[in-house]
Amino acid sequence: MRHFLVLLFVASLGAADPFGVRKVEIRLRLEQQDFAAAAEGARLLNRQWPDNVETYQLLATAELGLGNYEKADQALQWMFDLRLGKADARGYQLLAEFREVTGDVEGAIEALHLAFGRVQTGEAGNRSLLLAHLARLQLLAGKLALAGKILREADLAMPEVGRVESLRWLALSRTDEAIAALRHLPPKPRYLYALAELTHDPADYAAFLKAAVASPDSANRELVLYWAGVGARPGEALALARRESARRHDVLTQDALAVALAAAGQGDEARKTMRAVLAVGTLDPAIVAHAKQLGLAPE
Amino acid sequence: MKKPLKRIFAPALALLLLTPPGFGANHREAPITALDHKADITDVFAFRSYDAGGVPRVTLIMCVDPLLEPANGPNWFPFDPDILYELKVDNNNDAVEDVVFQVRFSTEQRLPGVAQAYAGAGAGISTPANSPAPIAPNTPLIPPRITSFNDAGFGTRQTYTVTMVRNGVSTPITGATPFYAVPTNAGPRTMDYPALFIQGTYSTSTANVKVFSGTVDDPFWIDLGAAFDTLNFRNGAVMTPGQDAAAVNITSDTVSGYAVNAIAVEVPVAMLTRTGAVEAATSTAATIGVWASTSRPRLTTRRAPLPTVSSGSWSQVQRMGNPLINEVLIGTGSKDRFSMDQPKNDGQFAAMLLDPLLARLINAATGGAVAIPTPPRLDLLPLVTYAPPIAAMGTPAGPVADMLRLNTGVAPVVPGGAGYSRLGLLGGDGAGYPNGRRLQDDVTDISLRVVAGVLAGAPFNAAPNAFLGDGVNVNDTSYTASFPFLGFCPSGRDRRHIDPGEVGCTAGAGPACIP
Repeated sequence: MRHFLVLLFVASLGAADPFGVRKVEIRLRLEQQDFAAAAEGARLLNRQWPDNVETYQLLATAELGLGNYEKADQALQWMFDLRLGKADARGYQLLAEFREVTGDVEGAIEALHLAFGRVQTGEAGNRSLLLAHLARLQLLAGKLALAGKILREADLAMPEVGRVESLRWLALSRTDEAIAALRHLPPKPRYLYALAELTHDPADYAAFLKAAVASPDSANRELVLYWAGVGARPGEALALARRESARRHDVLTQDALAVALAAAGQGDEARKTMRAVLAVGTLDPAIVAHAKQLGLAPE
Repeated sequence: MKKPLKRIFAPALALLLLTPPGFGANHREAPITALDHKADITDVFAFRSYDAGGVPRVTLIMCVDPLLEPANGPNWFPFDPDILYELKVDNNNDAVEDVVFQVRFSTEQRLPGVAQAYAGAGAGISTPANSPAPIAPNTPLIPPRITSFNDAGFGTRQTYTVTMVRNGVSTPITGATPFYAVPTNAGPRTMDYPALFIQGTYSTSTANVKVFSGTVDDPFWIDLGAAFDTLNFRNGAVMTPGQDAAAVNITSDTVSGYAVNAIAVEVPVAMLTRTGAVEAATSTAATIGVWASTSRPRLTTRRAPLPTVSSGSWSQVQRMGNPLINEVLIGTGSKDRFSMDQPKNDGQFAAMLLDPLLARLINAATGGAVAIPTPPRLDLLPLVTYAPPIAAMGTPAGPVADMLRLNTGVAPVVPGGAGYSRLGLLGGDGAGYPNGRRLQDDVTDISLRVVAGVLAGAPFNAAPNAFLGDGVNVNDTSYTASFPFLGFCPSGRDRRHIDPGEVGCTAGAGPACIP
């Protein structure tokens, strides 16, 4: 990846569209989850080429990743003001992500419906992604049957059908089918951890750990949860959680830190961290479950 | 708590798996109004009404939706019901609106089965003797020529509301009938456009307040093609004294034959000043700031009842005060921000306003023949602050802000009459631009000269700076003599666009335009 970035930089020196090259570079940073560099790149780009809608989308994505929700909010609002009634699907999808993380699930659903209306019928992959996201939100809203129905539509063109399939079974409370579906997924650490959490099989946890170690920084949240729980190495969990928290402070990262703090016996600090997470407004069920175990609950 | 937290609810964990990645998007950016013509403000006018009678009044006009081709059909040019159109007035020098006229439109389709928005001819036309079944001969088919808003052939009909907001208090401006927007001029067979224009000029229930909305002749005139071909003016951009003094065009008016949608409000001066009185020109309370804006409903990222960062339910698409500022002084990368921001924040654009690129372009394009003052161009402050010679001495300057400044105490001058000059203040006519803006003010020539430094005094107030111009001195058609003062929309059937080299350069008469 670093080599590719160097090539990209060299290409940009003589590029006919340096603006486009810079945007690609920021997208790569986002894919690397280097949100700080992506945000800085987007801000720099915005100074050079002001008020470009896609730049604001990249900035909002980076700020969401960093957990800078106020800045993400500002970037999104300006983007929508720039294109009143004419934002594209990605813009509405970002809005859905923002609303979801701040606890406005119904608003997120509304945003995804708007996004869906702006995707061409031929864009099967994008339509499936949006449907899958919508299904997840419907699950959060407690509408299991509707979520299952939406997921069946999403399955039609989803690149990793099993991922969606597993969720559908989970939505229908059919854990066995979900496990079977998860086993058909590529052996990515996050999928393997989800599988292990369903099976409680030490072999599955071992497979997760092996994959996570082989692919550094690809599933740090899952590693923190593993070390803080089944892995029973709270010190390692806390060290990793603090390292992640230094890079970003989004709700999932901070939630993992709270779990690690609790596992390390720092209950007061864990609750303080969790209160800050809940203050964002998130209704994420995993976070809510952790909060309840810390004796806290969303407002 | 030393015990590790329990495993979470499994389906909830699985939910986390399904975080959809973003998908690709590719935008080619353009300033916001390039994508939203209906909300694009072309011109703003503010002047003391110069027709006879009554209390001293001010006419405010905003034009939107540029370069409408009257021959274009069949749907013509409705105002957008989703847009909030506003004319705003600052009367206490802080560049914040104190009086606002808000205009909203509604559309009614009265002839859904007819392809044309308007249909009419003579006394109406019935089917002939050989009309095929099932429509019998002598069946009325085409309605009579449209002469009123209630005529049968008037298919697409728009009504509008006007609300005055003064110091935060909203007051509906109403009339004896609904306010109808005057349609485009489809042609003489279809409609009596002048009759509709007159009927569409409303006196209201509020004393001395009149309103008008409709499709009219575009009141602006300019050699637009030359201006936007990097100031490639056909006359070399410098007029001879004879050309300058004549009310004739030597180059073509690109806007000729085109229409625009206009909203006009006429109100007593006393309703606009902060004192509620007609102030003398020497009063520090006499000068008001005027601008217009268009807004669309806003989608807020945080919905109620969550804490909102929205300042309201509308978001501004564009605003305009002085002519040509956003068009030619604000850099493309800043145009959207300028359009969406408020005049009171224009200090952020001060570098562009007080060291205008246009001035440097003129200087460069003429090889230095047109010398320009050294920035910061304080001579331009009267355009962007409350300053003499428009505002009276002692008037608080207020922030740098793009608003038309109108000294309401200056008596109106009838265009074409004694004391009138198309060059407004530069021509010794104190009732003209940049003291407000009349329809007849040649803002292209005035702006070129002001930007070139004529207000800075010698040596910039002499030739060639003082004779800069595009060669278009008058509009292609006449204006009406009383409110709304706008000209009739050209007939769609018979409109004429006067082109370079074409005979009849001045409103279709006289010698040919310079090619």
